[in-house]
Amino acid sequence: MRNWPIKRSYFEVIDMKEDMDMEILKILEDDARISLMDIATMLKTDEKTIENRIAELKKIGVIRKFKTSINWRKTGKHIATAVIQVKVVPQERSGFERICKEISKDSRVKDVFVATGEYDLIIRVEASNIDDLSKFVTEKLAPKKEVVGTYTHIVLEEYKRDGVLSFDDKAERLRVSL
Amino acid sequence: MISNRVKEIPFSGIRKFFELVQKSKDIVSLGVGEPDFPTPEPLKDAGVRAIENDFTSYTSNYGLLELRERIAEKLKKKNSIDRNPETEILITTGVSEALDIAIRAILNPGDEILIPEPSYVSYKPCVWFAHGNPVPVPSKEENEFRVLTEDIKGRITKKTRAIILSSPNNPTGSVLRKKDLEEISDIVIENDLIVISDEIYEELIYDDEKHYSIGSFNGMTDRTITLNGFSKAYAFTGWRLGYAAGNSEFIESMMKIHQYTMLCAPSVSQHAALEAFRYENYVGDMVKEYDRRRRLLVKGLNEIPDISCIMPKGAFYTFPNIKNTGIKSEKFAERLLKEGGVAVVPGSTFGDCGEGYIRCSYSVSRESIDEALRRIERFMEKLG
Repeated sequence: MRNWPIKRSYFEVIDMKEDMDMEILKILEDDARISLMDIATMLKTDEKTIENRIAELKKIGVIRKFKTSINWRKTGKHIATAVIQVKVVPQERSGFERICKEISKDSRVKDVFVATGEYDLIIRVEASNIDDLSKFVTEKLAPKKEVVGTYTHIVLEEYKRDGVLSFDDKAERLRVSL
Repeated sequence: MISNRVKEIPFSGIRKFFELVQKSKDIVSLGVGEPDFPTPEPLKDAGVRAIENDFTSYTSNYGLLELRERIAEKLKKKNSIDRNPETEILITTGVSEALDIAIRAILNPGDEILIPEPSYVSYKPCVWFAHGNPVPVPSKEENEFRVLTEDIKGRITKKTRAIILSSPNNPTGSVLRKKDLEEISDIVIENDLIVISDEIYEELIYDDEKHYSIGSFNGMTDRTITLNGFSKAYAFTGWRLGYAAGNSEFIESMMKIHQYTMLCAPSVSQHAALEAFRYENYVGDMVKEYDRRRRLLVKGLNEIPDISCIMPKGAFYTFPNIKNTGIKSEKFAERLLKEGGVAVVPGSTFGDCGEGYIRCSYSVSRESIDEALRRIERFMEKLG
């Protein structure tokens, strides 16, 4: 048994006592739709145990959500994606927290990071089109009183997202080899 | 125009089947015999750096000394085998070459080599090409496909020169235990034989099984040629890099063939392989993943009527029994491909005693395993 700490929020650290949790997480990270039965088989245990562990991992906030990786371009749906660097005046005591949370609540915002460098935040936005994106930046983001500057990079092409390739891999193996 | 020797040796009987597999559309393949992971980044980078820095010329016939030194350290630490990197290790173009030249180095025309079957497909032809006679020793499912000493003993003649061991085994996934190897050592010493020990699947071993190298056993130092490489542990198959370790008499003799036929193993691959010794933990994660897939596949196969499958202890193959269907394994594989859309390798490919079995690899994604199991189940239902 190995203890490993997980950061639950900014200050609270919880102990997860079982290696099994780590194994379950690795499996689910790769495939959220895998059956409880399959996880149980792989980890030499029963379905009920896996079900309970996953419930617990959800409860304590380690598992946030089960999602699907979609290549929207293939569906013909238009998306205007931008990575935006944001310069912010940090607030006394709360730092960047308030503004980050505020930005995060917008459904078009997909990622929000506080980062080192000339700008303080890096966010990724997926708007339905350029007008929508423009509105987000000029009407919502830039006018915020803590925001002193933005630098918008419009995404032209996408090759990989959340660890998933957006193109078909050509490096195929032989179907049969001895 | 072609020599009688080569003409006499048949093409692998299932070549046509393989061509069919390559041409078929919408199939799920459990026929693969190589890792489905990419070569680890550090090894890839080292290969690219080797090219950029012009490490692209011939190396010593034996291979880069630094690589041989690393291998000697590994053999000592992991396999309890003591070999001098200067004279007792030869870097080869994959274990395939090492196997070929080991056999050619020790065999006189008409000599016999014992080959426990089911076995990897190259053993027999290599013996034929060296004008020797392969003598199959069947191993059985009830013994977890571990060859029995009495079956070896019964096949030893005055002409027997060597035995080829392969543990963990392709295609059965069997792993020889310490006791098995000790008993085999006794027979080998008693009958003045040589062991060619193919240990390419060494790292891929599960449950509580352990890998033992017969070359480290009492009295076996000067009777064993240990073969290993980087293909399976480091997903390095296309780089073609293996090695042989044995006493200097064996290795020098093998080197004689190697220097005239191969000159040296690919130099870029040798430089890349140096990096492998710094990334030993890479293997652990891979083994964990194979282990999970192994459980999924074996459980799934055993849930299908008329198929039964023992839990293999090594490599990345299962060897399920299909005798209840009453169909020969080659026919079964062909029908499963055409009617069920799943590619497997018929057990008879690996020797007569593989009849009644198929080889299903779990070196494929979990999704492929799930889909293949669904398809096999549907196919079996239709078979009735």
